[in-house]
Amino acid sequence: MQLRNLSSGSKQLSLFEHYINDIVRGKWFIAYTVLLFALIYAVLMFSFETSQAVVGVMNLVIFIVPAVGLFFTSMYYYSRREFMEFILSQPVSRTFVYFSFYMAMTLAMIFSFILGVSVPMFIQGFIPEAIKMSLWGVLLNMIFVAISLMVSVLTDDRVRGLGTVLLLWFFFTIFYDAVLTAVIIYFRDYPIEKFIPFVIAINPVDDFRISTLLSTNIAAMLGYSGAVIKHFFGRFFGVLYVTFLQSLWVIVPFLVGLWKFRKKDF
Amino acid sequence: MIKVENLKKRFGKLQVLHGVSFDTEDGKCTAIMGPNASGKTTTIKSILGLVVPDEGTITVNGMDIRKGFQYRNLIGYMPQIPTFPENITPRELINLTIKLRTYEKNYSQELIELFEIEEHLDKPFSALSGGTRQKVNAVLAFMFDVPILILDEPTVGLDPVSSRKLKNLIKERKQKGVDVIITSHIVSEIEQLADDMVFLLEGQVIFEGPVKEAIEQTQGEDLEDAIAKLIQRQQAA
Repeated sequence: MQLRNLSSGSKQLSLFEHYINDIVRGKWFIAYTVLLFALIYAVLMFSFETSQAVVGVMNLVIFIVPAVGLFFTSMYYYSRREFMEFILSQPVSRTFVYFSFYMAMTLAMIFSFILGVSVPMFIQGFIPEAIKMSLWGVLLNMIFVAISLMVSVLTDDRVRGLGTVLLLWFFFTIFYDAVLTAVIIYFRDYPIEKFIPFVIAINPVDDFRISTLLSTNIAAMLGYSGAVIKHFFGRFFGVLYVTFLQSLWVIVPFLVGLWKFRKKDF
Repeated sequence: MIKVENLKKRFGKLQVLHGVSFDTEDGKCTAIMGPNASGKTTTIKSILGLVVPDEGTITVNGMDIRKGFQYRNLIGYMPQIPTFPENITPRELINLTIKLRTYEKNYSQELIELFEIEEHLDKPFSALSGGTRQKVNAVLAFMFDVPILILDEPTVGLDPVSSRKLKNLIKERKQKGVDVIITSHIVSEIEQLADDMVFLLEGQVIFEGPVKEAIEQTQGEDLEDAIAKLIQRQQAA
């Protein structure tokens, strides 16, 4: 039995390569990238000033990117659930498999984001905004792939898992804003702005919106929570604070998912 | 050599394994047998590290499997019904498996020729029949010079010619000193291949020893009869 020296890194790379090849060949991936490009390009064609362009693109991104990140990650995980047994019967650690899966999915989503959002912005001449939007877009994709992977690993039942990600998307993009608005109106006589820095930690979509608008300096569109953050921390520390919250939204779901994945029965 | 000691596993309210213990030896084929839901697959998956036992220890060639994943380099595994991704090809899967292992040499080409699947190597799995998928499954399990083979219903879906080729392959490896663990519902197959048998019933080992001894002990006419008598004896107890 002759064995060769094979570092963990090269095994990890092979697995990562396998996942990324598998994902980018999927019809859904190509369709998503093309559709995103077409939508963003169309929005930019009708935007005559920077703030209009940024807000238009941001509103589309807020709806589409979390939905696609949540659904595609979950669907891909469940479709490869049984093949995961084959991979895990090979001499690879569970942490490696989880990390490779997460990185491949995230990089594929980021690749789509760059092609579908950043490239049309570059073409239309919104270069500084495109760079900033890309940076926050990377974080947004990392967050929603991590959340979706965590939910999928925690939930064995495919229908329940997909139902959970649907509810999360609904909460983050629609329900949260409605509740926040109601709370602000109901408690308008109280100093509720003190709680805003904590309240926005609940929603990574809001964090993305605030960080994009603060960094591109389109303060008029910040909304209530964004304006409070700017008032509390100033522009620079506001961006820093929201980035910190977004980093937590990547790290916490990633680690919870990894913890479960390491002790899960396949 | 695999040593399983006092293995216990519960899934929710269902206790699947109640302290399973047995040993397997190099150069011998051990059949893990039992009716449906007796705990065969859970036992195999525990050895492979796919299921995490609640209690008990498993050692593979002296290595405690809880202490790392490297021991899986010693095992060739053939799962029961392989569900490979529909859009990838057998060649890609074989190449991925080679990259994940540390063996200098692999016998994939010889096995591809043996099972006559050369023409299917670049087709996606979605275009392959169940039998061809099972042949790819066999190539993946046998292509390295591993000291342990775990085969879960290996001949299911294979035509008689391929099934015979696979059985010959198992016998060859056994003669080379490989520790083979097999599960099958085909009693004649077990009689042809297995030296020892571990019989599970409701998550407990009710017989462990040579296949011949099971027949002698139960005074059965053949292995099938011996198995029926083992189950009856346990149910009466």
